[in-house]
Amino acid sequence: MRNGEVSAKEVCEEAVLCAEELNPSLNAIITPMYDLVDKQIKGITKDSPLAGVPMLLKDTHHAYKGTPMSQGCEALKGVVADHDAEIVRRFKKAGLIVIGKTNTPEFKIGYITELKAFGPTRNPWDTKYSCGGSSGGSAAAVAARIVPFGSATD
Amino acid sequence: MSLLKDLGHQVEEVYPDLDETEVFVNLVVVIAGHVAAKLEEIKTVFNRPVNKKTIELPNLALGAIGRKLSVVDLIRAKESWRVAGAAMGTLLTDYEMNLPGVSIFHYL
Repeated sequence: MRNGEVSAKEVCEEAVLCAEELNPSLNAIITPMYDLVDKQIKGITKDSPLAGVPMLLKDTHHAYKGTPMSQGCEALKGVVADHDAEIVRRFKKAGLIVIGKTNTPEFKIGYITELKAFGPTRNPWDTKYSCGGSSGGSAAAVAARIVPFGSATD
Repeated sequence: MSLLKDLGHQVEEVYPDLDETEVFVNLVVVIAGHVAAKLEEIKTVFNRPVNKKTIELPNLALGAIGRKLSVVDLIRAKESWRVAGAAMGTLLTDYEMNLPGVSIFHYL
């Protein structure tokens, strides 16, 4: 990407296509942000260290302004963040493109990602198995090669 | 362990110098306190209902426990984490890595 052999738009579109194909069987991404990708790409500075690299955010702590953050909880469904978390601000500054938010157990408590509000996330290596937790959505998405990395809290 | 040994690692089953039950109880105390505060936030800041339909039962239970605990309970539990951290730090002066999943399985 830095050498211009492939554009941020091409890489992010591929990540979104991969997410759309794989996520229905994994339930790793609970809040797609695909419609925000183009706007984010236009806003990046090309000499940022990770300019145009797609990533995912765990749906707790890592608030992204204007996007829902439910913390895995039915009671918090539809609560929209009114600010960027510091880590998200730094992700943006580094040029990363957030394509969605990932599943986590309620209040991120648990070694598995099986919650009532959004349903369980599956292990991409074998969907009969657990993906672990509490950053299970990010872990499953990375293991499925949807994105090179996702945020987590361990 | 046998898989790791086959891969060439030197693997030993060792235990840090701490009371595992105390560590586990103090972990629950802190988590229960945080859950109680979170449920309070959901009610008072977000004006959302807190009940069996909106919160998972284990977290309702943790929240109820957290409400019964005192500030002293919370601080003592957090201080015990430092003791546990020091014990783990001592252990890791002799070893490069531990497998916490194995440890957790042992606790449970």
